[in-house]
Amino acid sequence: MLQYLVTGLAIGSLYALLGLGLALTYRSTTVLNFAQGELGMLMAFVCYFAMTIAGLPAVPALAVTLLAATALGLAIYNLIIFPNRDRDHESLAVVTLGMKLALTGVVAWMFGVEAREFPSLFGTENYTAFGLMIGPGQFWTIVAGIAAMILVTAFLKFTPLGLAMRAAAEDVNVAQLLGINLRVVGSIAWIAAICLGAMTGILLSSTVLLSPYMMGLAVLKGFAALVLGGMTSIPGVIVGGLLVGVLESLVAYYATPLLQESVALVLIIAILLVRPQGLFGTKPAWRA
Amino acid sequence: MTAARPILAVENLSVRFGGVRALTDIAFEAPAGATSGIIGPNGAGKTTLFNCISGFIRPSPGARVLLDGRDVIGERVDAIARLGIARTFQNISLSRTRTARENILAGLHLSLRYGAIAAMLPLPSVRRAEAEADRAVRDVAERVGLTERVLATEAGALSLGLQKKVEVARALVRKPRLLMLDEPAGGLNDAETADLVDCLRGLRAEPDLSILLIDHDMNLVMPLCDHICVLNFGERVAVGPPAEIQANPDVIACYLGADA
Amino acid sequence: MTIRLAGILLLLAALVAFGVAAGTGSLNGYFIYVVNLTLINAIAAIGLVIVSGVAGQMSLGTAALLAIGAYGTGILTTHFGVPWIVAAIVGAIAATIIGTLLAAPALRLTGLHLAIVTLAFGVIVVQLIGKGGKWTGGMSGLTLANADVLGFALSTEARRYYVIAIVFFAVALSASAFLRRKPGRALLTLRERELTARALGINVAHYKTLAFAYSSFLAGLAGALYAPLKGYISVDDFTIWQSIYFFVMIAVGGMTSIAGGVLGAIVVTVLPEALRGLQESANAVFGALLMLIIIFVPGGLVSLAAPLLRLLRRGREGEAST
Repeated sequence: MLQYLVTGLAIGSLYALLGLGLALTYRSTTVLNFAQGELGMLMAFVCYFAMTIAGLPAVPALAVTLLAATALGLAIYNLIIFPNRDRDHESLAVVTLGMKLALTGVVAWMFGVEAREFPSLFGTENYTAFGLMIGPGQFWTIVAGIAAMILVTAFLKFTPLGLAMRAAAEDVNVAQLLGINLRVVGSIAWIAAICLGAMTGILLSSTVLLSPYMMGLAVLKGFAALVLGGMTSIPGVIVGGLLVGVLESLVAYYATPLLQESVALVLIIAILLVRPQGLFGTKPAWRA
Repeated sequence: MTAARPILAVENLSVRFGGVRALTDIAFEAPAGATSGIIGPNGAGKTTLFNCISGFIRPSPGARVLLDGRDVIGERVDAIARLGIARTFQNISLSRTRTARENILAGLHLSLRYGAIAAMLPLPSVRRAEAEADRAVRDVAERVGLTERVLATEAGALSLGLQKKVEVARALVRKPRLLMLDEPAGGLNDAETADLVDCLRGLRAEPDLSILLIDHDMNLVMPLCDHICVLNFGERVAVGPPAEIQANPDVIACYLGADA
Repeated sequence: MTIRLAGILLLLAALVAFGVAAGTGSLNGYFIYVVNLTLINAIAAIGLVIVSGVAGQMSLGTAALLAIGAYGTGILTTHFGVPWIVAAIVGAIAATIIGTLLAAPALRLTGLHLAIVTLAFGVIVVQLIGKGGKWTGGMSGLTLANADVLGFALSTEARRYYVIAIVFFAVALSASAFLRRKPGRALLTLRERELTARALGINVAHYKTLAFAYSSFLAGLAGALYAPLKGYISVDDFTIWQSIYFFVMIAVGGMTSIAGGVLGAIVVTVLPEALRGLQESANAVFGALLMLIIIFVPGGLVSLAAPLLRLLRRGREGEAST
């Protein structure tokens, strides 16, 4: 059972990373980014081509990918989101829905739909500890998840820019009055989100095959993490992601693997029906 | 007028938002068939009071809001509307993209009695109901002073004065028992205000209509109202006919004390 | 002769003309198939216009509701030999019931939360269908027994067209009346200003539920027609991409009108067929189109035609007053 737990933590870390990207853009720019998964998929393709066609070793390839992520984040936020920041939330979400479709289509069109094997980043030896086996991909996913969580939380808590982002997330108008540059805050949020997406895409490609459609339903896992965490809480979304992963594993272990893929979805529906603010969110102010 | 039951009676009404006391122990009565006014400086709690009556806000326990004798505290907003209250809002609450006619038509929702399935079918009864609705819209437009051309214009394209009139028309069109107007002249210039006063004066003459209006402009309220309640800082300062209110030193003080 | 009446007669004429042409056997079967598919998509799009456009309740589970209609019909006709008409009605009702259950969260959740819930719902329904074993054919899909309407076998594309066109026309007319009258006005008010709607006496819960029920019924109906059209259905026909595509349809055509929904369905269904090269890149094109339309032409293609219509209308008002 513990073995399942480890797997659950690994996959949960992936969900947490996905949810973290979603939380950052949602908090800072009020955009629910349906395309978070596909952006990660695109970055994974960038890394793939950096390693296979350009022949770069892992670390430079990752650096190139992060650079691409930064450029893409700047472009998307400044060209698409910022000019439309006064539109209602649903319209912006539908724009990301279109982006989701477009990204899948563009990648499929340019590079074909066939699934590719991502070059191995971590070697193939399983690690063992305490009698438990853990694949290298899983191990590094958990490490990445922890690292991301620490980095993001530290950044938000201890740096002036992070403080600015938190202020903007709380109240956009007051933040502007305080002299906080929304453009900077938003750009950072989106860059970070796409970098996190890149990590998610690359880590996922280590276990499943790389294809334009690989992230189609992944965003829902991110939503599950986001919703469990209460939409805007950073520690909340991390815990939420891990919880979803572990629950999936436990369901597979105790019940049947067939139900595994539905766990996140049931969680979403249950949480939003019963406790919309999630585990860590604040209840909205009530009016009679 | 006989000593009939007041159309609206408010008792013991207090509202707190967190630590802020927006209204404290408000009590007053609006006589049936008359025009009553609630006045006071900005921030006195007038709109909060309106929102309690409409059912948007629930006051602290112990409050009573009696519409023609019936307590409406705790009722749903649309249920209260169904009991015969229609209101306008301080900020224009029309649909900017729909025409004035369509906006006013929306006010007839409760008067149209057919169901959803009937709405899909070419039934003569539905056609008749819709024709009557069109007639009602035209009638109320005439009463309020809106031309056909205005009716056909998108609400967002109309001047503020006309928009306010459209809101009044929308509230009036289903012949409510109590018409509540929240700052009907807010933001209007002198000409528009005069026009509105004329229109409201015409409405006063209607027998079955009671009007309750909020404003902080004495020039609007004094000539129109039979009965006035003055609020300041969430408390009732004075109640009575206009002449009394105008002479009341407390009332004068609360207006002079603030930049009204 | 109002513009509306002219439009209705035009539509009727077009549908009848096409039906006559199809009946002569001179039209390419595939061509008729595309028209059939367009009309089916239009029915579902009209439903989505009602719930997401007019009522403003973002629903991303349309494909799942079609699936319920399609599989309900398929299971009843194929496994139980139920006549297609009955199966179709049952399928549509099943979709209505399940879709109306979605209204419950809609009453309490904001737009984005609702989008997430409907998306999750859409995926779960299809996952469950995929696990249906021999009833649904599981992941391999369900081949349907031949459908017929009271003995009139739906065995050719043209025959299917007759049924689909009649249903479409009835739906378009009744939905148009629905939106023009009290319920449509209530939904529009509810979307724009919920508090004002309540103050006007509109029972918001009732109307939101109504919007979900009506649109779910139409989606289920579309699914019930889809089943005999394809003859074989599988979970791959009802993915989240399909749900997204329905959203593209109403966004492109115009989210708040029947004409918009139909126009959008035509554009999204016909264009990839008409422009060969478009087929492979359809996702890319329509994804980009969705983004551009929402940002630059939020009212859809129909809103581009609106100024023209207004000129026409003012023209005849001018005639009437002279």
